[in-house]
Amino acid sequence: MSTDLVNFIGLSSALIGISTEHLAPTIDPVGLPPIFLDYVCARVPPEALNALLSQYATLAADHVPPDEIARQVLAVPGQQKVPDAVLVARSIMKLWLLGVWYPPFAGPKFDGSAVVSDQAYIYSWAWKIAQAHPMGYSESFFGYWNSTPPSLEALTGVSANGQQGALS
Amino acid sequence: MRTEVSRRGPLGCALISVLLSPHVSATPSLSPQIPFDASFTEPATLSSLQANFDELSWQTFIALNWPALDDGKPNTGVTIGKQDGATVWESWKESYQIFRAKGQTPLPWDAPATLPEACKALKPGRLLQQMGKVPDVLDEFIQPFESGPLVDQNGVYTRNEIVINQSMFDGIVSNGLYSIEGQQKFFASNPNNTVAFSCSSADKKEVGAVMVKASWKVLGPNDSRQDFHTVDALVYTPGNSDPGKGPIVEESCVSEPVGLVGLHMVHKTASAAQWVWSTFEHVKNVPEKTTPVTQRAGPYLFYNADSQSAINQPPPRPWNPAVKATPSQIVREVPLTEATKTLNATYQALLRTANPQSVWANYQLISTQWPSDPPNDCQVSAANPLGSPAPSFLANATLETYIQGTVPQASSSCMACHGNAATHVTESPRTSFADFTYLLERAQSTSGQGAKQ
Repeated sequence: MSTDLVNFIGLSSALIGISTEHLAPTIDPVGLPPIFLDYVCARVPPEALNALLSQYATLAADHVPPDEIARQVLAVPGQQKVPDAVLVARSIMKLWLLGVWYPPFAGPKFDGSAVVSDQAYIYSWAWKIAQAHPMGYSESFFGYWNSTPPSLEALTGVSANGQQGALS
Repeated sequence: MRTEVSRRGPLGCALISVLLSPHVSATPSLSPQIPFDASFTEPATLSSLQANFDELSWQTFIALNWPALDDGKPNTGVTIGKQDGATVWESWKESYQIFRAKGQTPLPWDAPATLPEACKALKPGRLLQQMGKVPDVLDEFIQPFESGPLVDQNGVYTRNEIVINQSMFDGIVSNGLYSIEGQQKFFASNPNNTVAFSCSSADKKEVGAVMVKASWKVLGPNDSRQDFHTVDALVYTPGNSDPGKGPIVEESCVSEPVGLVGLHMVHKTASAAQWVWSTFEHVKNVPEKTTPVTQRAGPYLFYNADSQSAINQPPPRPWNPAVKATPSQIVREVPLTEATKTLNATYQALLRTANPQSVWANYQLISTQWPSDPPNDCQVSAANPLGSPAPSFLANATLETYIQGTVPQASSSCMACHGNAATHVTESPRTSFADFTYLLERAQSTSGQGAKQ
């Protein structure tokens, strides 16, 4: 796994609060992380992405907790224009959560929003966070709608404690 | 068969714990022993695990196709392929022997098969009646989702059958799951009862539930028996006199030699609560889609390089197995991986050491679908019920001919499809769960009402 991919997964984990083991399992027949990174690389200026990954790598090397990493990466100082790196980080969050790439800003590579792939849609994390499944695709067995969904922790690795509306 | 479907934690740990279990070596060999599970190599990666399960597939293929004694047990005094003959799995129970009219109790495991009246006057043979994987008369000659029959180069429909081993047979019979009323009673008798066939266990040295689905082609004048595993079969076509249910077909039974062209083997193991789905085909079945047309030398059993017919299209309706049809023009949508091709060459060479003309060397593994995130207690997790199948899609060109590909919800995925299987008691997820087999839907009512409730 490349350094960029490791940092991309770590950054993504810090941003959306899902562990790296869940985002990029060791045994992963779907393999979205490298697809996502390639997709982002093709659509974001290298300097913007590199700055973001470098910022993450530095903070991670300093053992800064993930929540604090996310706070620093997403911080918008004062009344300034939102930095490009923050816009890219927000788009990466949407990518993981929705399977959709929303261009962070207009530019020469701006080509509109798009669902990255059928697999990206199916395995985007918003569904599991909602303890639901994507429209048109469910792996649950017949009659699942008649039962309480699996716990948030079982689906995402994140405890339902303190998560408003989540079922444990 | 009596534990509730569990809800387990997130992915990750289960496979690791399975991998830590001791397993025997998977060195290629010709053995009549059905492997209890895959043998895992370290470090575990997606490709190494695929290779491990592919090895399991080949070892299972050899064990199930081992020459059988009259009682169905493997004849350990001979080696596979010395000469073609009855195999171990062919002694197992066909679905029509289990799910009988009026929900009758199946005959004992070792009882001979009962034949339709139309077949009784013919010389004894293996009864083949299905022409698709779907059971009732309406669908006898089609494939899953009414996608159509497969027609060979002689214009004849292929025939299919489904059999199960004694472990699975016993699980159905002992729990009364062979009738609708039996299924209702099973679930009503204990609020924790759910369908859960037994897993193979290396620790206990027990073979759990195994299903086999086979596709056969009738051998015509241009087909050589030496190229196939061949059976003298009773090819039975149930009659249909109701035009509302399809073409009018007269009941018939013909004694004909048939050659094996496709074989699914589905094995529930300790590392695969969602079962291991292995699929093999005859090497001459079809070309791969990625092979340039000019290089599709053939001859193939289900493709003609000179034909202008549309690729991978079912024959036009009505589908009447009694009438010759235009041969199917089939290609494989998802090519074999290089690793699978190499493994195939290894095992085919091994089979030829027993007999250079071994019919079994004419078969190839297409791939194996296995759960990459299995539970560690052989119970399915509600949080990841399919266990993250790898590969995501798998099709046999003779059994899922028209649903090959890689489109979610449309293309063939063994686990995703069979995860939708249900019993006749659909009042809750617990009672509807059929443990990845559609066979339980074939149960009929003791009142004579065969329709699903």
